[in-house]
Amino acid sequence: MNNGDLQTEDLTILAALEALDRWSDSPGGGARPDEISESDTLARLYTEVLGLMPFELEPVAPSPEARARLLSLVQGDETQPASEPSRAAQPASAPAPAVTAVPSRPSQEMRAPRPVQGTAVRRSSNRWPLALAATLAFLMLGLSAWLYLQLGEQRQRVATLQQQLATERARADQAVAEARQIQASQLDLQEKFTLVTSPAVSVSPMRPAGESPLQPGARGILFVASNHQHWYLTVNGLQPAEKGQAYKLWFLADQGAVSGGSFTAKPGTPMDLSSKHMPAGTKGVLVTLEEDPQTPVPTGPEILKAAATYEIS
Amino acid sequence: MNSISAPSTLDSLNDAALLRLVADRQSEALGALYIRYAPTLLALGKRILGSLSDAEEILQEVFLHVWNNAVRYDAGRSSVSTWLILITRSRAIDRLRTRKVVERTHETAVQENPAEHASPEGVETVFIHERRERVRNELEKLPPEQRQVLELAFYEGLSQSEIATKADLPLGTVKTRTLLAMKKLRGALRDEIRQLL
Repeated sequence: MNNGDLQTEDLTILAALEALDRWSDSPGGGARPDEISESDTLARLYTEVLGLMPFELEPVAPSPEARARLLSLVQGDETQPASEPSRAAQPASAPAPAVTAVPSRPSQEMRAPRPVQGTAVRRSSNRWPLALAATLAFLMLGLSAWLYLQLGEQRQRVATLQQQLATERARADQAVAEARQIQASQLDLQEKFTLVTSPAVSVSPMRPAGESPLQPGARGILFVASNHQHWYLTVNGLQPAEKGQAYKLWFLADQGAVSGGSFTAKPGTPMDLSSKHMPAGTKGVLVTLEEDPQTPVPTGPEILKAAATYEIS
Repeated sequence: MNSISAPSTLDSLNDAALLRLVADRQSEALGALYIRYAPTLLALGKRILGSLSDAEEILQEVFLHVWNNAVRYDAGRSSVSTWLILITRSRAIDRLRTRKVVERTHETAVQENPAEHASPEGVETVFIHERRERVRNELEKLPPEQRQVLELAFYEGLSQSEIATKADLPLGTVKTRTLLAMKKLRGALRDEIRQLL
């Protein structure tokens, strides 16, 4: 065979093989999307064929230390968080205001009256109880006012504490509810974990159905326990169903298709379904998109189908 | 296969999405990609170099290269898995060609046959397991002489002329066998290729 006998496809294959040696030199050198020709597409196909070859090899598990070493190398190289801003210079403390001593001058009014001889002494002895009573009354008034103010403050503090108590109780109730929810979710996860790690679990990869799949990016995995009853399905890449529509899971059993439940999809979020029961004699699994979520038989287009089953032990 | 763990969010992401996160400097995404492909890449490195310790060095280099060049990945040129495989192949063959002839016969059996490490299986890893089964089946169906020329080209980095010399065959025969093998594989693995495109 010489180059003259070769067809375009043959030349593309040989070129793809030769291009392997230049691969690492030009990692980003692909053609622009608007420039992709038929031979580029063909070259891409054969590059993928070559890229699939090493999957024939028995995988060799790297040591956990190798992964840890790699991650420790790159973790120091991640985008550095913004460095801690330098502390602003503390403002110079303002000088304490100078305490100016105000000389107190005794007022003229406070000066002690001069003692008056005779009748003045008698008048003074008569006024003394009155002065004492007035002082006492003044003190009582002051004390009452102080107690009234204290009572107001105490009431306000009690009201605040009652409000805080109500808030804390509500928070505690919420925490208890969250803890219960987490506990339930943990039990659920534990159950799923037990299922997927149990011996002789069957794993069925679900791939887009048909030659021209409606949703080529959708995928799923069905785990079935060794008792052929407990199953767990995780699906991702499904497009959200339109209003009124729903995805339905079907078990293809001896008696025909049996509904395994319906679900909707959220973009970017894997959908998990599980149950402890599976119809007897189930041979396949199917996901369809149904106009009527209550339909007893699959009528809508097939989206995902289990291609094969692997026994994991 | 060792054990299966409940799929995490990163496990359920496809390769391209993981690589985008790596380009955004998220080391967890690189870790997820490592779990997914390191066993295959290490097997490839070992197949080319014949030494696990050399293959491990190449593996480390490849993932550091991915970390630093994820932004340069061109989805129009190849799938992520093919990109990783061809980088690994290229580096391993470079090392093979430049390696001085040093017999490493002193390497112990422990180095060459390390204990199996349990690695958790994510959702995408199950698909890789399925891919492995299919590729293995299809390669086994190839006639041995066609498989031989393909393996010499891929794992030893030999040109068609070099294969002809090594296998003592006419160049035209080597080309014919190579082309037949590639076309058969393309047809037989079309579902896998469609998943990668």
